[in-house]
Amino acid sequence: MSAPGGAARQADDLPDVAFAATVAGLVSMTPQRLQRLLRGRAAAEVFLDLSAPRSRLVSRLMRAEQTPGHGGVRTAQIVDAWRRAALAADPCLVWERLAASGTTVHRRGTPGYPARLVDDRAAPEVVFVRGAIDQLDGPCVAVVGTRSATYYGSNVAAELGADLSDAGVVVVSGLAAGIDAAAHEGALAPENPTPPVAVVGGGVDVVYPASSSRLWSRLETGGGILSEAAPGTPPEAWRFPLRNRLVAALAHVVVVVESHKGGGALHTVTAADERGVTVLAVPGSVRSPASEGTNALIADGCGVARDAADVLAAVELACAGGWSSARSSARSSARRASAGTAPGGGPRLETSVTARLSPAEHSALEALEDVAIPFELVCERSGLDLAATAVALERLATLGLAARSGSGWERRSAGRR
Amino acid sequence: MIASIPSATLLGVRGRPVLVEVHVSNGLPGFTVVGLPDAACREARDRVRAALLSSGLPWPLRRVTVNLAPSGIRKTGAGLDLPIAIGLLVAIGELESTAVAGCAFVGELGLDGTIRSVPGALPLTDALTAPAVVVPPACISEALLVGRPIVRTARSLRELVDALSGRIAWPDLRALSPAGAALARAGPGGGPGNAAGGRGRGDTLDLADVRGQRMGRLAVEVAAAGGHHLLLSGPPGSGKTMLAERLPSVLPPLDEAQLLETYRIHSAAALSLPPAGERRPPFRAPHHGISAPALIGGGSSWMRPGEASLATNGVLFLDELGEFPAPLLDLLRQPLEEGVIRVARARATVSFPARFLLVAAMNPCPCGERRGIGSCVCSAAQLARYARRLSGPLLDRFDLHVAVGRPSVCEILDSAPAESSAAVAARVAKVRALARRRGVIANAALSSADLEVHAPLTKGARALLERQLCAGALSARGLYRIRRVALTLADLDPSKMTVDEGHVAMALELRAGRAALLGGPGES
Repeated sequence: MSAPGGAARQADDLPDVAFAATVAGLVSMTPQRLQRLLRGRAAAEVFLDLSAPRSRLVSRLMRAEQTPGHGGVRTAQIVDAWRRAALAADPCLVWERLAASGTTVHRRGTPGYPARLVDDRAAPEVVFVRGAIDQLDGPCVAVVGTRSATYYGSNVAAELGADLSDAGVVVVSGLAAGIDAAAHEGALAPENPTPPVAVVGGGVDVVYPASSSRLWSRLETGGGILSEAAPGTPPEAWRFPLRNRLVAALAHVVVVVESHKGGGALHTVTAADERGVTVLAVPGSVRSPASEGTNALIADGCGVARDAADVLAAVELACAGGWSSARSSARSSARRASAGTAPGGGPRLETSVTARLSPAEHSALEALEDVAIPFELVCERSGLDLAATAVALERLATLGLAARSGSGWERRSAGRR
Repeated sequence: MIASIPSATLLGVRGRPVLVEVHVSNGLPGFTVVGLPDAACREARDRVRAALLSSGLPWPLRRVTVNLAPSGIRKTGAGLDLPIAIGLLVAIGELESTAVAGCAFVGELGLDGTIRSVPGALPLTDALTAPAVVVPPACISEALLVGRPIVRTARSLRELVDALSGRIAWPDLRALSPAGAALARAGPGGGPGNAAGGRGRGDTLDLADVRGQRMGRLAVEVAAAGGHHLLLSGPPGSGKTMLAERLPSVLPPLDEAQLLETYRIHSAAALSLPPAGERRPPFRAPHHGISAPALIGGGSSWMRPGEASLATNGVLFLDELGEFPAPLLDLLRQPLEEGVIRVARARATVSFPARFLLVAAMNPCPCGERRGIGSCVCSAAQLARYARRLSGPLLDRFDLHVAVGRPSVCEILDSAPAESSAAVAARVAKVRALARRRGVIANAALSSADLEVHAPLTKGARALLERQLCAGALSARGLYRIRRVALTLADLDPSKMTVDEGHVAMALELRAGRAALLGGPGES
C-alpha cells in the first residue's frame, strides 16, 4: 500500500467505476452479491463501507442471503473477512492495471453500458470489456451450441456467423469450443462489416479454453469480449450458466445450432424464454446425438433456422420494423438456391467434381452422411469390398469430399475447410 | 565325513548348478547352512531333521556344516532340502558315496519324509550335468522334457534311500505320473501326440462365434499373419475381448524350440504345463491391477518370470488398456523392442525372454458410451487426459489400431456362422511361411531396407502414401508400419503379387483408430 495521504488524494480523483471495478474484484464476489451491494449506491461509498470496521452493507447482504449463524461469532468473522479483502484492494492500482491492459469498465446506467442489458432483471452492475462493443446497439443474434460439435454443426455455425455479420447483424456467442468458436470464426472474416461480441464466464484476460487463444486475441482486436467478472477471475463452472443469461439478454434472436440432450446451450434457451427472446433451432439428423437437443426444441414448437435468411426474418420481427437488413443476405439465398441441385446437397461447386468420380467413388460418396459413420457401414451401403471402399474413400478425401472424423468417415462439401 | 551332492537353484528362467557340500565333525552339536541361502533355504535344517527322524534314519549329534557352492550366488527355495539330506546321510556313512555317484538331486522335503515338488524342475534339470537326476514325483514330466539325464524319482526319503542302496527297485515313472510321461513323449522330439490331458478352454474359442465385425476379424487375421501388435477400441459390449481371446486360435502352432521355451518359462513360474499335444500359443490376460514385477518379472528373492515372459511365443492381452498405470505400460517398451526383459537387482541381473504379440483393448473415451461416432459426452479436457494416459511411444508400437462398434441386431441374430478359425489359420500359416522365406519370423520384424526389397509399391500405392505424408497424416516411422501391414495384406491376398493401393488404403484404415484417439471426437 502506498502512503495514506498520497493514496487518498489520488483516490479522490478516481471515477466511480474504478471503485465499482475494485469491489467487483474482491475475493468471493459473485454477480448476485455485486448487484445487492452496488445497486443504487455510489461505488466509492460501498467501498468505504466495506473497509469500515462494522460494515452495514455486509450485515444486510448476509440477511438477504440468509447466512446461517447471523448475529453470532460467525458474523463478526465474515464482516472481518470482507473488511480485510477491501483493505487489501487498492482502487488506484486496479484502475491503473485496467487502463494498462486496455480493459474498459462500464457501470449500469452509464454511457457505454450495453443498452439491452440496462433494464434486464438480472443485469450485471459492472461489465468489463476488451475491444469494442458499441455495435451491440444494433440488431444482435446469439449463435450458440454444443462444445463437441460435429463437422455439420461447426460448418452451419460458421456459415451463419459469416452471413449474419455480412447482413449487418452482430453475432454474440460464448467463445467456448465447438459451435461458439465456429460462429465467431465465421463472423470474424475480414470482409464482414459487423464485428462479433463474445461473452465469457471468467475474466476478459483469462483465456479459456486454451485452444481458443488465437480466436481470443482476434476478437480483442476485431470485435469485443465482455464479462461481468473482474479481470483475473478463473472460469469456474458455475459462471457459465450466468454467462448464458447475458448472451440471451443481449440478443434479439437466439439460434441453437447443435445441442445434445440436456446440453448447456439449453440454459441459454431457458434464459431467452424468460426474457421473451425468440429462439430458433437448426434441424439436424435424427440419428445425430449432437442434434438431439435442437430437434427436441423444434418438436416443442421452436422456430427453424435453415440459414441466415430465416434468422434475419426473425430479427426483423423482433425489432418490430425498427430494422431491416441493409444487405438482403445475398450469400445465404444463393446457398439455399443451390441446395438440392448437387447430389450431396452441398454447394454447386461439387457438381463439377462429382462428375469425374468413378462408379466406386460415387457409391462410396452416396453411402456417406454429414454425420460420421463407421467404415464398415460405408462398405455395407456401397456394396464394395473392404479394400475398394478404403481406396475410394482415400480418393474422395483427396478431393475434399470426405474426411475421417473420429474413427469413422463423413461427407464434406468441397471448397470448405 | 564330507560329501558333495550336485543340485541346482533357479534364477529367472534358468537353473544354476549348485554343489551341496556337507561336513560332519566332532564338536558341539549344531547345523549351519552357509553360502547365501534365502529364508526358505535356511529353514531346510528343520525340515531335513524332521524328515530324517520320521523316516527312521539317524540324525547325528555332531557338528554339521552345509555349504552351498558357489557361495557367491543367492540360493532360493526349498529345492535344496533333498540334496542336503542325501549329503548328510553320505557324510555320516548311512549311504555309500558310490550309491549316489553321478546322481543329482532336486526336491523339497516334508516333515514326514515325503518328497515334494519344486518350481522350475525343467530349467533346474537342464542346468545339471550329472548323468542321472532324482526329482519329486510331480516333476517327472518336466524333467523328462530335457531328454538328457536319466530321470528317477521316489515318493519319500525312505524309498529313495532304499532305492539308492539297491534294496528296492526304482519306482516306475509311468505309474507315478501317466500324464507327465505322455507329455514328455509328445513334447519336443515327440511330435503331436494324443491329447491325453483333455481339452482346455482355448480349444472351444473359434472365430466362427464372432458375428459381424468385418474389420475386427480382419485385424485379428492380419495381427496373427504379420505379428503386428493390435489395439482394439470400442464401447463396452462390442466384442473386443471376444476377438482378442480368439487370436491364439488362428496363430500357427508352436514348433519344438518354441514349445520347449514356453514350457521352460511356465515351469520357472511354477505354473502347470499345458496338457500333452497342446501346441496352441499361450494367451496371458493380466488384470490392470497387476504390479510391475508381476508384469515384467522379478521379485526380491525369487526372480519369477512375469506375465510378459509367460506370453512369449503367444499373446499378451491387456484389457482396459487405459486403466493400466502409465509407468507400468512403459515398462513394456523394452520387451516390445528387444524381445527380452532385463531385470536388474542389487545382487543379480536376470534376462527373461519376452517375445509376444501385444493385443490391447480399450474404451474410446472415459464415458465409453459413444452412442455414435463423434458424439460422446466427455469434455475435450477429459479426452485429452485419457489419450495422455497412453504414452506416444507405446501407442506407436501398435501397427493396428481398429475401432470396433457394437454389432447390429441383424448381425447378432444372423444364424449363418462366420468363417472358422481353421480357415483363417490356414491363410495365416501361408503368410508366416512367406515371412520365413524373407528371413524373419513375421512381417512386423522386417527392417525398412527389407521392405524395399520384399514389398515394392505400385504407382497408385506410392501416390497414396505420398499424399498422406504431405498432409502430415503419417510420420516417417508410421510410413514403415503402414508398409509392413500393407505387405501382410498383400500376402493374405493370393491374387496380388505386389503391394497395391488397396492394400495401403486398408492398412491406413486398420490404423485409423490412432488418429481418433489422439485427435479427439470432432475434427481428425
